[in-house]
Amino acid sequence: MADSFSMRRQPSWWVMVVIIGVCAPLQLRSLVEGNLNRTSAGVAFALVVLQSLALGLIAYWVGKPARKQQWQRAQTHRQVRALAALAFAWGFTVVPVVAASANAGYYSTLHRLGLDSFAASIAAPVDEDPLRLAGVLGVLALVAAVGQVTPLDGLRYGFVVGAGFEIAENAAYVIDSSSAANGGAGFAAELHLAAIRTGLGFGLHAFWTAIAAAALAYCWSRLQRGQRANWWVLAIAFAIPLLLHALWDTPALSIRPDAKMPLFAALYLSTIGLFLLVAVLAKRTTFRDEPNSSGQVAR
Amino acid sequence: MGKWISAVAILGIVGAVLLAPQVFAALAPHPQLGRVGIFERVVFETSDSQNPLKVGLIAPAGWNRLDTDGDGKLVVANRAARLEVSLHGDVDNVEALLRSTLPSGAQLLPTEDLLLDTPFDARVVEYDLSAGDSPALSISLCPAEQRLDRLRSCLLVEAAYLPGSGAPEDEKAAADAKKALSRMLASVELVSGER
Repeated sequence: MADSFSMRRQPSWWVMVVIIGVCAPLQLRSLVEGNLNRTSAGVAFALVVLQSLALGLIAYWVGKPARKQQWQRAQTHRQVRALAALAFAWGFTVVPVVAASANAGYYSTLHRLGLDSFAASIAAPVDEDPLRLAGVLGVLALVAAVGQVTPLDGLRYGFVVGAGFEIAENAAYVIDSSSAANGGAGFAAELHLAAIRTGLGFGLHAFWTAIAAAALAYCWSRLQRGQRANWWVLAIAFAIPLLLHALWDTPALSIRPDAKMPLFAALYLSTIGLFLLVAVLAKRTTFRDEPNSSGQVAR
Repeated sequence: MGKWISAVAILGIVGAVLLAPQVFAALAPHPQLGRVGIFERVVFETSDSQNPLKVGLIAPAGWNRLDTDGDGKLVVANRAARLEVSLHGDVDNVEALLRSTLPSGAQLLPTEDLLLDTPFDARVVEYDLSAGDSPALSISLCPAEQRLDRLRSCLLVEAAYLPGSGAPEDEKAAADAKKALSRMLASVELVSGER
């Protein structure tokens, strides 16, 4: 275990911090440039706090080692908090800003091709999912600098990156709804929107990112031990959430308000089931590979 | 060296995400603008009628959009036909609605039931005032459940097939237009505004 953890020695740390530094003001500007009034700011802030707490609790459960006392952890609590903050900042600032720019480009071309109805389901997964995984990659590089990367690291930090993005996206929806361009929704409508964004598909971005990130960390951990990476695991774990994301954004087949509910329910339950399966596998793999008291890795 | 790989990969992913839409835009074909998109839904609403209704339909993909939404109408055309769709609130006489847009030469033609697999009372008048060269249809779609004390909102679809040259491509376009009309009618759905 490294006796000091200097993230600043790592190029990944600098790259992430610089990109976050560029994107943070842009994200702030995009959040406040509309007709941000006290009401919408209050609702958005309450939403951010509530969702941060809820997602934070899940992230804590996700990352908590079941056999803490037996696990010689390479990261201290302080390091975990610092890395989680970095992961959250990436998800909250970089992903929405870069994805918004990329989405605008895709939407313009997809409109030209007559694919407006499918623009969200094509563009959003294609740019948001790799961006979130890029944040996980950076954080895992910092973990690797002090010791062994584990699938649990991927699950934890992936979840936090996804949570950061989801909270930013939901806050933006609430603030956008209050803008004059959208007719100034008003307090009740903003509250309603906040409730919908919390109740419908809550945590999906976090779950999707955690699934792919656990697979990335799994491959990385194998490389660190001199084994074959098994990249196919990452390919599958990246492709399935991407597909679920695309399906979530597809247009409804009917104008009935509840037309998409069965699909939403199926996608949400699939996501939760897949996430729990990956969480169990990640914890099992992590503890199976942890060094025992004699320094041997169990096989 | 290894520690640089992830940093370069992060930059590569962010750069690729930003560049990919530009590359996609450069490589994608440039079809004519103003065409109806794939699975493009058009929604009409009557809010001021006694029986508020929301009607949705999937417009025929690839057709030229001549007019829409601004005046509550959808008007599209391809090389073989022209379709005009409009929603009418508070209809007390479907027959009168159906005949309201017919030319005088077709006013005496009888209306017929149109069998559709949708929850509508569908009636049609088919006429051709140019010796079989350009048939036209006027179709009304009204909610099937009728309450005597309420007026209905109805969808009026006018389809006019343009005179063809007899060339194979015109024949094909006419056949495609008929299929497109059938698909559009099959896609019509309604949601009552009543609670």
